[in-house]
Amino acid sequence: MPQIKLQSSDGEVFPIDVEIAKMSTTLKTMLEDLGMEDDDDEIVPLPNVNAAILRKVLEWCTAHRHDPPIVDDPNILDTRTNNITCWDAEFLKVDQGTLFELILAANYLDIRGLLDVACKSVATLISGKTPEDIRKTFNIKNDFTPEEEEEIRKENECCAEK
Amino acid sequence: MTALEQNCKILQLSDCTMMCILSYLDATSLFNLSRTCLYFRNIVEDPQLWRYIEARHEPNSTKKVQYICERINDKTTHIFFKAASKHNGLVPLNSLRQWINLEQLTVLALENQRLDGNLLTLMDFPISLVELSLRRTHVKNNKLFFHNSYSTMRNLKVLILDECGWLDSSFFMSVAKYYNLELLSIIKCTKLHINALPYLNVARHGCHKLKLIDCRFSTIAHDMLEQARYNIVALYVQSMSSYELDTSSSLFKVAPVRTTENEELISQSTVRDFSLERFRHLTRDLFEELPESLLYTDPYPECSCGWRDKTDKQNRDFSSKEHHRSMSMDDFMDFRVACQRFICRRHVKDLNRLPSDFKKFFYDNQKKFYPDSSDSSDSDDDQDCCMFGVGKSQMIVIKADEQGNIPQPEVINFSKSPSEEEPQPSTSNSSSSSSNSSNKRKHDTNDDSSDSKRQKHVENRPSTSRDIFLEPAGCLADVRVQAPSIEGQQRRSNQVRLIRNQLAVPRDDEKKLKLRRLSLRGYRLISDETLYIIRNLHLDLLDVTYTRVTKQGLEEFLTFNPNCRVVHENYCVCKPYIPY
Repeated sequence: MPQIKLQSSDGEVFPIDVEIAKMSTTLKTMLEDLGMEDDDDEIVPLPNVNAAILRKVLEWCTAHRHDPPIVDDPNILDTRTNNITCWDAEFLKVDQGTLFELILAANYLDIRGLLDVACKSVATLISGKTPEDIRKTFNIKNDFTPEEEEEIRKENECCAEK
Repeated sequence: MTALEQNCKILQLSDCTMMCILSYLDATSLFNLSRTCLYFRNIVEDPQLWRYIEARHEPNSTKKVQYICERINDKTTHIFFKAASKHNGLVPLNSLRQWINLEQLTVLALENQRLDGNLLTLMDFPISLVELSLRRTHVKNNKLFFHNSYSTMRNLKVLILDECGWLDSSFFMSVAKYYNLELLSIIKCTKLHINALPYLNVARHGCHKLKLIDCRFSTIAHDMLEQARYNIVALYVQSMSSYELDTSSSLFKVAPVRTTENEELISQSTVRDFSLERFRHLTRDLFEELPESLLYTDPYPECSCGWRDKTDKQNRDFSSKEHHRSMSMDDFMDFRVACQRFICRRHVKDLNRLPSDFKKFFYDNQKKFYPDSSDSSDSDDDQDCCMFGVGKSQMIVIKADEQGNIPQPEVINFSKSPSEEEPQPSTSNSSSSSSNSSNKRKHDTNDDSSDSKRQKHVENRPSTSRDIFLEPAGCLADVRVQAPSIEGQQRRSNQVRLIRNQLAVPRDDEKKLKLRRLSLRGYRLISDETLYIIRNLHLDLLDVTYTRVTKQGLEEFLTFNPNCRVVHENYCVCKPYIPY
């Protein structure tokens, strides 16, 4: 099986099967457009992804290499967040920093399946929380003006009463 | 980059990725997010996020509903609203009025709302609607709410009107003209029986595509079975009295008033064997799929109890015995109407649910109900179930013996001194409606098998000082209240059946039925006769839980329908899904 080598931002080289690399649309396009498939010694630099994250991404790709490709149908809106498989849920049990870096990497490498499942995972962190809880969870700074803040606070009180 | 910003990784994502995350959030979460910081307040404004609006989750504050209503746009396809109460989370009328212009809106849920038929009718809803739910929504001035709505509702496939107490059967006339309607759910609608028969009779000429009718816990079960069209694929009816068995909560917050009129209505709506008489000579037509819906939840999804795989027969026998007892309890549900409660002695914790006056009475007399020695005739095995029905002035004690049979109940008068060892015969005192109706029940003993059992009990039990006023299990009981003329009605129905059989030229034998699923849950007048009537239909699913069908009857039925999923105490014990 032909292999290519990926180099992370901190210089580590990962030899992987072309089949797995092609799960990334970015890499697939690059390989096909540049005709790099025959050249075994070529190293592809990925300046946006560090070694730890790349290892994680490749772990996911290896586990999901037999997945059917995702077909985009604008008529079907999949808003469910409860259909994350056990394997993925276990895989995504990481700290927030890693989770967001995974999303950035998946976005950069254009790995649709990984991006979807990681976004779902973030969505579950948000859903069902009050604004204050969301701020705490993600370290979001409240940048409303005091007037706006007061207004929102009043509304929340209203909700709590009723 | 400051330390704080570095910690806040979520704000480092690109807008594009952020939209991907936000697209998985429901409207409530988006609303909450808009209140965290300026960045989120701006990004959630994107109309793309407001196409599929699911806003049923708490908190359903008025502010949230208002915020979301302002964001509904031309691209919106789905809207789900559910108010928290009649004061909070209501969709404002001026928003509702604007929705008529939403050309892409296909699914709309307006649950627990209050509408005024004078200000808004179904004519004001968009034509594009495919599914509509008005579950628990109250419409005042509803005379013309459905009037002429067939023109706007011509694309509608799913209509859900569960728990709409205001709904009367005249709406069938309008709904029958909904050209594409496939699914109608009218669970817990309690006003439907008024003139139901004539309206249904007319309506059956419409509803050409109607495939599924769910009218569980409503008062028109019998009429529905008689009037349903032949192209129905699934028909679910369930008795009101079985609601409490399935959910262990009362169907009505306030017990309905027992008038002769009410009693007659309820007895008329009860499903009996002959309700299915028209199916006798029918067979199944071509297979047809059940309609799909976002708003309607299938009450019978895949079986999860695994009854078909069960090999441990002993286990099954045990569980069937348990169920047999709870079923017997159903027979005494009649009392509930008269503000009465039941308790199993093994579930003493349930005492807290009893009225306080009874609780006190119970504790004062605990010894009497939990006798240590078995000298008294009614002190059965301690393991056995015992039930108490409490009236305003009297109490009824029922205990099951080791076979699970229910013997005669005792009546103990409240007003009597609790220390009195033997309760006085209270026929003269028990002038409450419950005992009256029970006396009526006494006359109605058609079932042979249970009759003999009953007789045995009467013989076994010296009825010296206890007042035996109620016939035990087995007899009628689905109808919580029996109409005075029940005996006559039954005789009449038997005559009708005889005449129909004699004629032997069934009107409908040419026709074929598409019925695949039938639920008769909780109707105690359904017996093996029904199984015989419908055995040629080749049903996929039959729910006869809490009915009087026997295991032998079902076994015979299953030889004709080996693939039928029978929901019954001895077979599949999955409980059907009930909304709310």
